[in-house]
Amino acid sequence: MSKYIMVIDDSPTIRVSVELALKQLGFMIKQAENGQDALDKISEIKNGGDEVVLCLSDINMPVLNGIEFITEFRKVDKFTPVVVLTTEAEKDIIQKGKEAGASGWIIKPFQAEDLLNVVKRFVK
Amino acid sequence: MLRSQNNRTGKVLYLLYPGDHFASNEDCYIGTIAGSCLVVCLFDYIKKTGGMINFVVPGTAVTEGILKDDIFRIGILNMEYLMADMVKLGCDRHHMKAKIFGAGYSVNSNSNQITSSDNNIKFVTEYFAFEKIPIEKKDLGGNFRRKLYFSPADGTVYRKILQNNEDFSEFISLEKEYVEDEFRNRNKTGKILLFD
Repeated sequence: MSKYIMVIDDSPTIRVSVELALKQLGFMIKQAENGQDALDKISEIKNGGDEVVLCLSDINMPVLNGIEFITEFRKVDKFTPVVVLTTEAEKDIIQKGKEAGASGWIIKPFQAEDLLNVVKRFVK
Repeated sequence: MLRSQNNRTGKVLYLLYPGDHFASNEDCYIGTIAGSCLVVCLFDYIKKTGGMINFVVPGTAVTEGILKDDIFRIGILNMEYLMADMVKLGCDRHHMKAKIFGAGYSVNSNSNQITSSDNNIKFVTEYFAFEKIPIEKKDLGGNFRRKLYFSPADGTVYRKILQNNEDFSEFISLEKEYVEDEFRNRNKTGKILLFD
Protein backbone atom coordinates (compact mmCIF):
# COMPACT_ATOMS: atom_id res chain seq x y z
CA MET A 1 0.00 0.00 0.00
CA SER A 2 1.43 3.40 -1.01
CA LYS A 3 1.22 6.45 1.25
CA TYR A 4 0.41 9.77 -0.43
CA ILE A 5 0.74 13.43 0.49
CA MET A 6 -1.71 15.66 -1.42
CA VAL A 7 -0.41 19.07 -2.54
CA ILE A 8 -3.39 21.28 -3.41
CA ASP A 9 -2.73 24.67 -4.98
CA ASP A 10 -3.84 26.40 -8.18
CA SER A 11 -0.27 27.56 -8.84
CA PRO A 12 1.94 24.99 -10.60
CA THR A 13 4.99 26.89 -9.30
CA ILE A 14 3.88 26.35 -5.70
CA ARG A 15 2.84 22.72 -6.27
CA VAL A 16 6.17 21.73 -7.81
CA SER A 17 8.21 23.73 -5.23
CA VAL A 18 6.39 21.97 -2.37
CA GLU A 19 6.80 18.59 -4.06
CA LEU A 20 10.56 19.18 -4.42
CA ALA A 21 10.81 20.18 -0.74
CA LEU A 22 8.98 17.02 0.39
CA LYS A 23 10.76 14.58 -1.93
CA GLN A 24 13.29 13.51 0.70
CA LEU A 25 10.56 12.16 3.01
CA GLY A 26 9.91 9.22 0.71
CA PHE A 27 6.13 9.59 0.34
CA MET A 28 4.27 9.54 -2.96
CA ILE A 29 3.10 13.06 -3.86
CA LYS A 30 -0.12 13.81 -5.72
CA GLN A 31 -0.81 17.31 -7.00
CA ALA A 32 -4.29 18.85 -7.32
CA GLU A 33 -5.13 22.29 -8.70
CA ASN A 34 -8.21 23.02 -6.58
CA GLY A 35 -10.35 21.49 -3.83
CA GLN A 36 -12.61 19.53 -6.17
CA ASP A 37 -9.64 18.12 -8.08
CA ALA A 38 -8.20 17.06 -4.70
CA LEU A 39 -11.41 15.31 -3.57
CA ASP A 40 -11.52 13.40 -6.89
CA LYS A 41 -7.87 12.33 -6.63
CA ILE A 42 -8.17 11.35 -2.96
CA SER A 43 -11.13 9.17 -3.89
CA GLU A 44 -9.09 7.51 -6.69
CA ILE A 45 -6.17 6.88 -4.31
CA LYS A 46 -8.42 5.31 -1.66
CA ASN A 47 -10.32 3.23 -4.24
CA GLY A 48 -6.96 1.92 -5.46
CA GLY A 49 -6.25 0.59 -1.95
CA ASP A 50 -3.68 3.27 -1.10
CA GLU A 51 -3.65 5.81 1.73
CA VAL A 52 -3.54 9.61 1.98
CA VAL A 53 -1.51 10.54 5.07
CA LEU A 54 -1.58 14.34 4.79
CA CYS A 55 -3.11 17.15 2.72
CA LEU A 56 -1.32 20.46 2.18
CA SER A 57 -3.83 22.96 0.84
CA ASP A 58 -3.95 26.56 -0.34
CA ILE A 59 -7.02 28.68 0.53
CA ASN A 60 -7.68 30.93 -2.48
CA MET A 61 -8.43 28.58 -5.38
CA PRO A 62 -11.13 28.53 -8.06
CA VAL A 63 -13.87 25.84 -8.28
CA LEU A 64 -13.61 24.72 -4.63
CA ASN A 65 -11.49 26.83 -2.29
CA GLY A 66 -9.44 25.62 0.67
CA ILE A 67 -12.10 26.14 3.38
CA GLU A 68 -14.72 24.41 1.18
CA PHE A 69 -12.30 21.58 0.49
CA ILE A 70 -11.61 20.98 4.20
CA THR A 71 -15.36 21.09 4.97
CA GLU A 72 -16.13 18.50 2.25
CA PHE A 73 -13.12 16.35 3.10
CA ARG A 74 -14.07 16.22 6.79
CA LYS A 75 -17.47 14.74 5.83
CA VAL A 76 -15.67 11.61 4.63
CA ASP A 77 -12.43 11.69 6.61
CA LYS A 78 -12.25 12.99 10.16
CA PHE A 79 -8.65 12.10 10.92
CA THR A 80 -6.21 12.69 8.03
CA PRO A 81 -4.43 15.97 8.84
CA VAL A 82 -4.95 18.97 6.56
CA VAL A 83 -2.35 21.73 6.82
CA VAL A 84 -3.10 25.03 5.09
CA LEU A 85 -0.32 26.81 3.15
CA THR A 86 -1.47 30.34 2.34
CA THR A 87 -0.81 34.07 2.21
CA GLU A 88 -3.98 34.58 4.29
CA ALA A 89 -3.11 35.84 7.76
CA GLU A 90 -6.49 37.28 8.84
CA LYS A 91 -7.71 35.91 12.18
CA ASP A 92 -11.27 35.39 10.87
CA ILE A 93 -10.15 33.20 7.98
CA ILE A 94 -7.78 31.21 10.19
CA GLN A 95 -10.67 30.65 12.63
CA LYS A 96 -12.91 29.47 9.76
CA GLY A 97 -10.19 27.03 8.69
CA LYS A 98 -9.82 25.74 12.21
CA GLU A 99 -13.59 25.28 12.57
CA ALA A 100 -13.74 23.49 9.20
CA GLY A 101 -11.17 21.00 10.50
CA ALA A 102 -7.71 22.24 9.52
CA SER A 103 -4.87 20.78 11.57
CA GLY A 104 -2.39 23.59 11.00
CA TRP A 105 -1.88 26.89 9.20
CA ILE A 106 1.40 27.98 7.58
CA ILE A 107 1.51 31.60 6.43
CA LYS A 108 3.72 32.14 3.37
CA PRO A 109 6.60 32.76 2.95
CA PHE A 110 8.08 29.71 4.60
CA GLN A 111 11.45 27.98 4.52
CA ALA A 112 11.52 24.43 3.14
CA GLU A 113 12.99 23.25 6.45
CA ASP A 114 10.03 24.65 8.43
CA LEU A 115 7.59 22.92 6.08
CA LEU A 116 9.45 19.64 6.48
CA ASN A 117 9.33 19.92 10.28
CA VAL A 118 5.56 20.50 10.25
CA VAL A 119 4.97 17.61 7.82
CA LYS A 120 7.16 15.26 9.88
CA ARG A 121 5.15 16.14 12.98
CA PHE A 122 1.91 15.01 11.33
CA VAL A 123 3.14 11.92 9.48
CA LYS A 124 5.54 10.47 12.07
CA MET B 1 -2.97 52.70 -2.12
CA LEU B 2 -4.86 55.91 -2.79
CA ARG B 3 -8.44 56.00 -4.12
CA SER B 4 -9.20 59.08 -6.18
CA GLN B 5 -12.70 59.98 -7.37
CA ASN B 6 -11.94 63.33 -8.95
CA ASN B 7 -9.25 62.99 -11.58
CA ARG B 8 -8.94 63.69 -15.30
CA THR B 9 -9.66 60.08 -16.34
CA GLY B 10 -13.33 60.56 -15.40
CA LYS B 11 -13.32 57.25 -13.55
CA VAL B 12 -12.32 56.13 -10.07
CA LEU B 13 -8.53 55.75 -9.96
CA TYR B 14 -6.75 53.44 -7.54
CA LEU B 15 -3.15 54.61 -7.30
CA LEU B 16 -0.77 51.89 -6.19
CA TYR B 17 2.43 52.65 -4.31
CA PRO B 18 5.42 50.29 -4.43
CA GLY B 19 4.49 47.08 -2.63
CA ASP B 20 0.73 47.50 -3.24
CA HIS B 21 -1.58 45.09 -5.08
CA PHE B 22 -5.23 45.43 -6.07
CA ALA B 23 -7.82 43.75 -8.29
CA SER B 24 -11.21 44.95 -9.50
CA ASN B 25 -14.07 44.08 -11.82
CA GLU B 26 -15.31 47.69 -11.90
CA ASP B 27 -15.02 50.22 -14.70
CA CYS B 28 -12.13 52.08 -13.10
CA TYR B 29 -8.39 52.59 -13.54
CA ILE B 30 -5.54 51.20 -11.50
CA GLY B 31 -2.45 53.36 -11.83
CA THR B 32 1.16 53.38 -10.71
CA ILE B 33 4.68 54.33 -11.69
CA ALA B 34 7.06 51.54 -12.61
CA GLY B 35 10.61 52.50 -11.71
CA SER B 36 13.09 49.87 -10.64
CA CYS B 37 10.20 47.69 -9.43
CA LEU B 38 8.17 45.28 -11.54
CA VAL B 39 4.57 46.05 -12.38
CA VAL B 40 2.38 43.11 -13.38
CA CYS B 41 -1.12 43.58 -14.81
CA LEU B 42 -3.24 40.42 -14.96
CA PHE B 43 -6.51 40.20 -16.86
CA ASP B 44 -9.05 37.36 -16.72
CA TYR B 45 -10.75 37.55 -20.11
CA ILE B 46 -13.72 35.40 -19.01
CA LYS B 47 -14.52 37.32 -15.82
CA LYS B 48 -13.48 40.69 -17.31
CA THR B 49 -11.53 41.34 -14.14
CA GLY B 50 -8.02 42.67 -13.73
CA GLY B 51 -5.41 43.27 -11.09
CA MET B 52 -2.09 45.02 -10.70
CA ILE B 53 0.93 44.67 -8.40
CA ASN B 54 4.02 46.82 -7.98
CA PHE B 55 6.85 44.87 -6.32
CA VAL B 56 10.54 43.99 -6.32
CA VAL B 57 12.46 40.73 -6.09
CA PRO B 58 15.04 41.83 -3.52
CA GLY B 59 18.35 40.30 -4.47
CA THR B 60 20.32 38.36 -6.99
CA ALA B 61 19.34 34.85 -7.89
CA VAL B 62 21.97 32.21 -8.36
CA THR B 63 21.50 29.79 -11.20
CA GLU B 64 19.02 27.33 -9.75
CA GLY B 65 15.92 28.81 -11.38
CA ILE B 66 12.48 29.68 -10.11
CA LEU B 67 11.77 26.44 -8.22
CA LYS B 68 14.91 26.28 -6.12
CA ASP B 69 16.34 29.77 -5.91
CA ASP B 70 15.60 31.18 -2.48
CA ILE B 71 15.35 34.79 -3.58
CA PHE B 72 12.66 34.02 -6.16
CA ARG B 73 10.50 32.82 -3.26
CA ILE B 74 9.77 36.50 -2.54
CA GLY B 75 8.71 37.10 -6.14
CA ILE B 76 6.41 34.07 -6.06
CA LEU B 77 4.93 35.30 -2.78
CA ASN B 78 4.13 38.69 -4.29
CA MET B 79 2.46 37.06 -7.28
CA GLU B 80 0.43 34.94 -4.83
CA TYR B 81 -0.90 38.14 -3.22
CA LEU B 82 -2.18 39.38 -6.58
CA MET B 83 -3.51 35.95 -7.57
CA ALA B 84 -5.42 35.79 -4.27
CA ASP B 85 -7.02 39.19 -4.99
CA MET B 86 -8.09 37.91 -8.41
CA VAL B 87 -9.34 34.48 -7.27
CA LYS B 88 -11.48 36.16 -4.58
CA LEU B 89 -13.26 37.95 -7.46
CA GLY B 90 -13.93 34.62 -9.19
CA CYS B 91 -10.90 34.55 -11.53
CA ASP B 92 -9.03 31.46 -12.67
CA ARG B 93 -5.39 31.52 -13.77
CA HIS B 94 -6.28 29.34 -16.77
CA HIS B 95 -8.08 32.40 -18.19
CA MET B 96 -5.44 35.01 -17.46
CA LYS B 97 -3.10 37.04 -19.63
CA ALA B 98 -0.25 39.19 -18.32
CA LYS B 99 1.28 42.52 -19.22
CA ILE B 100 4.56 43.28 -17.48
CA PHE B 101 6.47 46.54 -17.08
CA GLY B 102 9.32 48.15 -15.20
CA ALA B 103 12.54 46.77 -13.73
CA GLY B 104 14.22 49.88 -15.07
CA TYR B 105 17.27 51.60 -13.66
CA SER B 106 18.12 55.25 -13.45
CA VAL B 107 21.13 56.85 -15.12
CA ASN B 108 22.70 57.08 -11.65
CA SER B 109 22.29 53.36 -10.91
CA ASN B 110 25.24 51.39 -9.69
CA SER B 111 26.09 47.90 -10.96
CA ASN B 112 24.09 46.27 -8.11
CA GLN B 113 20.91 48.03 -9.21
CA ILE B 114 21.45 46.98 -12.81
CA THR B 115 21.96 43.37 -11.65
CA SER B 116 18.76 43.67 -9.60
CA SER B 117 16.91 44.88 -12.68
CA ASP B 118 18.17 41.90 -14.72
CA ASN B 119 17.20 39.63 -11.86
CA ASN B 120 13.65 40.97 -11.72
CA ILE B 121 13.29 40.47 -15.48
CA LYS B 122 14.59 36.90 -15.15
CA PHE B 123 12.09 36.18 -12.36
CA VAL B 124 9.00 37.50 -14.07
CA THR B 125 9.81 35.78 -17.36
CA GLU B 126 10.44 32.41 -15.70
CA TYR B 127 7.38 32.74 -13.47
CA PHE B 128 4.89 33.23 -16.28
CA ALA B 129 6.51 30.49 -18.39
CA PHE B 130 6.11 28.06 -15.49
CA GLU B 131 2.54 29.16 -14.75
CA LYS B 132 1.72 28.87 -18.49
CA ILE B 133 0.14 32.33 -18.39
CA PRO B 134 0.76 34.10 -21.70
CA ILE B 135 2.61 37.43 -21.59
CA GLU B 136 0.71 39.70 -23.94
CA LYS B 137 2.95 42.73 -23.52
CA LYS B 138 6.47 43.03 -22.10
CA ASP B 139 8.14 46.41 -21.59
CA LEU B 140 11.08 45.94 -19.23
CA GLY B 141 14.47 47.48 -18.42
CA GLY B 142 15.82 50.76 -19.75
CA ASN B 143 16.95 53.81 -17.82
CA PHE B 144 13.57 55.48 -17.39
CA ARG B 145 10.33 55.20 -15.45
CA ARG B 146 6.89 54.36 -16.80
CA LYS B 147 3.57 55.85 -15.75
CA LEU B 148 0.86 53.21 -16.15
CA TYR B 149 -2.94 53.20 -16.15
CA PHE B 150 -4.65 49.81 -16.29
CA SER B 151 -8.33 49.31 -17.08
CA PRO B 152 -9.25 46.10 -15.20
CA ALA B 153 -12.59 45.77 -17.00
CA ASP B 154 -11.00 45.27 -20.45
CA GLY B 155 -7.29 44.67 -19.81
CA THR B 156 -6.03 47.80 -21.61
CA VAL B 157 -2.83 49.42 -20.31
CA TYR B 158 -1.91 53.02 -21.11
CA ARG B 159 1.80 53.76 -20.72
CA LYS B 160 3.80 56.98 -20.70
CA ILE B 161 7.59 57.09 -20.54
CA LEU B 162 8.81 59.54 -17.88
CA GLN B 163 12.10 61.25 -18.62
CA ASN B 164 11.91 63.89 -15.92
CA ASN B 165 12.35 62.39 -12.46
CA GLU B 166 11.94 65.76 -10.68
CA ASP B 167 8.14 65.71 -11.10
CA PHE B 168 7.87 62.34 -9.39
CA SER B 169 10.40 62.78 -6.59
CA GLU B 170 7.89 61.78 -3.88
CA PHE B 171 7.10 58.51 -5.64
CA ILE B 172 10.82 57.84 -6.21
CA SER B 173 11.48 58.31 -2.47
CA LEU B 174 8.68 55.88 -1.62
CA GLU B 175 10.06 53.34 -4.05
CA LYS B 176 13.55 53.65 -2.61
CA GLU B 177 12.19 53.19 0.92
CA TYR B 178 10.13 50.14 -0.14
CA VAL B 179 13.05 48.48 -1.99
CA GLU B 180 15.38 49.00 1.00
CA ASP B 181 12.76 47.49 3.33
CA GLU B 182 12.35 44.48 1.07
CA PHE B 183 16.12 43.88 0.96
CA ARG B 184 16.29 44.20 4.76
CA ASN B 185 13.37 41.82 5.37
CA ARG B 186 13.96 39.30 2.63
CA ASN B 187 14.63 36.41 5.02
CA LYS B 188 11.43 37.01 6.97
CA THR B 189 9.03 34.06 7.17
CA GLY B 190 5.35 33.78 8.10
CA LYS B 191 3.80 32.28 11.23
CA ILE B 192 3.14 28.59 11.71
CA LEU B 193 0.05 27.66 13.74
CA LEU B 194 -0.69 24.09 14.79
CA PHE B 195 -4.23 23.36 16.00
CA ASP B 196 -3.87 19.88 17.45
